[in-house]
Amino acid sequence: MAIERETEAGPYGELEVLLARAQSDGPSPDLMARVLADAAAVQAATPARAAAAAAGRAPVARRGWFAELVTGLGGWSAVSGITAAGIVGLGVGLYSPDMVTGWLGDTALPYAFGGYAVTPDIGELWTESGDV
Amino acid sequence: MAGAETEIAALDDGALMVLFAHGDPGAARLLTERLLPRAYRHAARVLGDRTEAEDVAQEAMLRLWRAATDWQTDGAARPATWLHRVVANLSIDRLRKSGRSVELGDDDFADDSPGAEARLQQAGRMDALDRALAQLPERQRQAVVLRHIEELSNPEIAEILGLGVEAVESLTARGKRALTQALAGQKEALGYGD
Repeated sequence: MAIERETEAGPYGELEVLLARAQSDGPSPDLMARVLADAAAVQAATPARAAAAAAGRAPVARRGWFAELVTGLGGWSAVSGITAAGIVGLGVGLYSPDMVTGWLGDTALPYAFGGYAVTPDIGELWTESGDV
Repeated sequence: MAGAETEIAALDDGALMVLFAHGDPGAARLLTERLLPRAYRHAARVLGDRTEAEDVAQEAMLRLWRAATDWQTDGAARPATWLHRVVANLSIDRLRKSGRSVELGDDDFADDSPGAEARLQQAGRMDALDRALAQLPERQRQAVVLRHIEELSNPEIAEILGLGVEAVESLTARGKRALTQALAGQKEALGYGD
């Protein structure tokens, strides 16, 4: 017991001092810079999709496919325009040509007929092909 | 901007790993500040060589960066524990390949600037500590460094070294006694000589 107490009181004190000093030892600024450079290189080389896949398991918000689509189309204003055009197209498809002509006030129909006049009939093309 | 920095600083290491995978440079800086000193100290005390310790710490951090993409925040491993495990393995590999007990040379501390004498004594003390640590068996050395310098818990050390908690308790206790005996013969190097 006496030997044990002597050991605890003596050399352990010096050891504690040394271990405490060792705790303040740290990396050089040069090593810090090298590690940060490695980090930047890895981040630059990491594909965005891999990061997005990782985000799927992470408790952080990530952009869904719909948000990406809206951004790709030019934002919500562009989406509104596309939606309006789609609704008008649906109306034109659902109602008879007479009603559509009425809606447009006889302004669009001449263009439509003009287009019909300059565009060759598909049946004629077949006929020409048959003649050759 | 300062608010964002404060916010990110409050995140734990696992969350920072996810941010790092998203390309956040602030996460890289914070993780480096938090983890690199631990990796370096661990390697330095186990290897007893600053240059080798820097190489090992840099390599371990590089592996951490590469692991960030697949890091799972709900996984059991914490980045610090994971990093210490890599440092432990890399250090053991180096020790076994070289087959030597590494000692710091006096040239590593040569310095003519003011205060050099005090730093030399400090370096000499670290040198003495490293020499004493080098006398311990590998696992005992790792356990002592992780317990008494990095102040990790015994369960954490057990996870890092792949041992049971009781084995770690035994290693740290025996290691500390052996370290004390090894230092007893180096009082002069420690600046405690008569």
